[in-house]
Amino acid sequence: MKQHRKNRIYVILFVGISILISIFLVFSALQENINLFYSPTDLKNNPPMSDRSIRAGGLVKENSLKRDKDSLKIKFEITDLKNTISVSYEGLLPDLFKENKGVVATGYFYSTSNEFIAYEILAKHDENYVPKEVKKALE
Amino acid sequence: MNKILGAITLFYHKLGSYPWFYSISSKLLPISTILAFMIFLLGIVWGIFYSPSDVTQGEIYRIIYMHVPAASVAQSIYFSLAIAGFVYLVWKMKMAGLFIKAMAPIGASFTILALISGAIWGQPTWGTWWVWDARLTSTLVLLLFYLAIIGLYSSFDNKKSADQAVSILAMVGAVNLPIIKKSVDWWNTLHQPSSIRIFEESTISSEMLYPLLICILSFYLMVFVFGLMAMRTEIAKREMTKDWFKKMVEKND
Amino acid sequence: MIFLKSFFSREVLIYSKKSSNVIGPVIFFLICIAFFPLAISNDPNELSRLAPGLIWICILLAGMLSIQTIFKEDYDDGSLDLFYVRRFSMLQVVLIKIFVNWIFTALPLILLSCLMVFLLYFPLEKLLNLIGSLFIGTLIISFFGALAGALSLGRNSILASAIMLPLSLPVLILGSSASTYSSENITFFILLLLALLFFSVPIISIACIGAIRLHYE
Repeated sequence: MKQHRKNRIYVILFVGISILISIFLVFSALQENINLFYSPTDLKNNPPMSDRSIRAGGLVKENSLKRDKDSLKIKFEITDLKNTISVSYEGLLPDLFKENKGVVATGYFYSTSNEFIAYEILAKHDENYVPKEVKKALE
Repeated sequence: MNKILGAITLFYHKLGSYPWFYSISSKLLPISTILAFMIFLLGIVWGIFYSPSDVTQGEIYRIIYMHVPAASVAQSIYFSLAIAGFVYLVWKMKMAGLFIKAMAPIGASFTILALISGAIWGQPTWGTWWVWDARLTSTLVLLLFYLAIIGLYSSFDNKKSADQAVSILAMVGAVNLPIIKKSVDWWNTLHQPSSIRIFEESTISSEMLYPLLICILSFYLMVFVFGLMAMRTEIAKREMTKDWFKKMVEKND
Repeated sequence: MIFLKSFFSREVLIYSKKSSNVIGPVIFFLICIAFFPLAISNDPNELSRLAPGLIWICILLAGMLSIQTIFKEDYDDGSLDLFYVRRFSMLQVVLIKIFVNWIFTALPLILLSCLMVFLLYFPLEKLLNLIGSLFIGTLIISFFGALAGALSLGRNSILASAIMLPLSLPVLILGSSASTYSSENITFFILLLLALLFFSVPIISIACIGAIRLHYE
């Protein structure tokens, strides 16, 4: 019985210490600066290598959207209100893609020309749901 | 104080008894079925025909009345499975094991509903059926856990070992789900944050919020009804040969 | 201590006597890796971009083969019953069994991944990141695999994989990111992997004990 109880204490110690270490490790990991999602400012300050696809996001700059007449090619600029990058893309755009709205582009960034070649454009919409009539009344 | 505690203990012990549960559930079932159906009808009709359309998303946002309740129910069921697993392992309550067995397929169905309705919603608004973002991926993994629980249960012949095995799996899965969600989160999420807030003002206008809340309530009631049905079926399967069950069937005939 | 030592050498002896447990995953891993360039493309640029993910997926799949062996043989020949009945410290039994299984099935695969510098054109400068993350990641996978194996003792093997693979998803994500992203981000992922290891070792080994117990009740 005594041995049994001793064993139980060892088990509890083992569990407790391991979980404490793990919590400590998580906190020290969160101290690290990590960046997998780039804003235009991030791209300017420390550009990633162009051989790897990344995700960049921000707002679509007003009056920056240019459509090609004969094809689906488009060009626009993403801004985080401090810096901007120009993005080119070929394909259909989602309905919610609008100027001054959030967008997430996946593709390759070429820091020499400050250009982002996207192969996927996704619209990010916010969590606000407002009826049309209310919106009109507010404006 | 002691009286209250006593009442709770009594209720707990009653909850563990098959005959008591079977008789009480046969009284609860008709009422809750009607209630769930009425509230569901109210919420859906209000949401689809009488609530205003959204500024940015137009009419398509109305899928929220299916998507959000389904997703919420899917997560809650898993959470309840983990609690039941804990109860089963600690106090060896038979009913908890039966609960896991009965609820897992229901949870899986609602998870599938949430995934499909989410995909239909995502296509016109985000521009894609599917993204590997934190919420979507963790919901998919949730479905995998449900399927693993169902599969694990069905691989045992002995009900008792089956209950114990799925209890362990349900608990480990519940610990792992937040980790999975967090680990996918570093690819910045596309999914918007939740619109219904408990401690601050919701970011969804009240005309849309009320039908949504009614829909969520009706989904929980639906789960309650389905859960009762599934648990009764399971009790009937397990207790078919027992005296109390035979007597009850004879009485009803 | 004496128990630990003798049990450890017993396990090592079993694995070294039965080489098929060791060679199986190795062959599977190499075949899997060899199929990717043939099926996808043999363009070095593309391959080196995909390499970390491919290596991780293949390691996970090879792990599926080896988790079966952790408890199965002892369960089949009845030694597990003996450990249980004789009131051995199950925690020690489980920990040693998992660790020895890792040494014999995962370690060779980690060493083989160095070859991917040639086979998949994996960038040499990231090799250390890959090996480091594999060391921690495969240990975690072994624990999840042991739980899956213990739960499905005596059942079909697909079930064990269906339990193990979703559980291992965080390892796959953190590990492949650790070997993909540049060295400035690596400490973050390694620390998180370590945290996951320390978190899962006690929880999963206790869950394992529970899972073994249910076969004897």
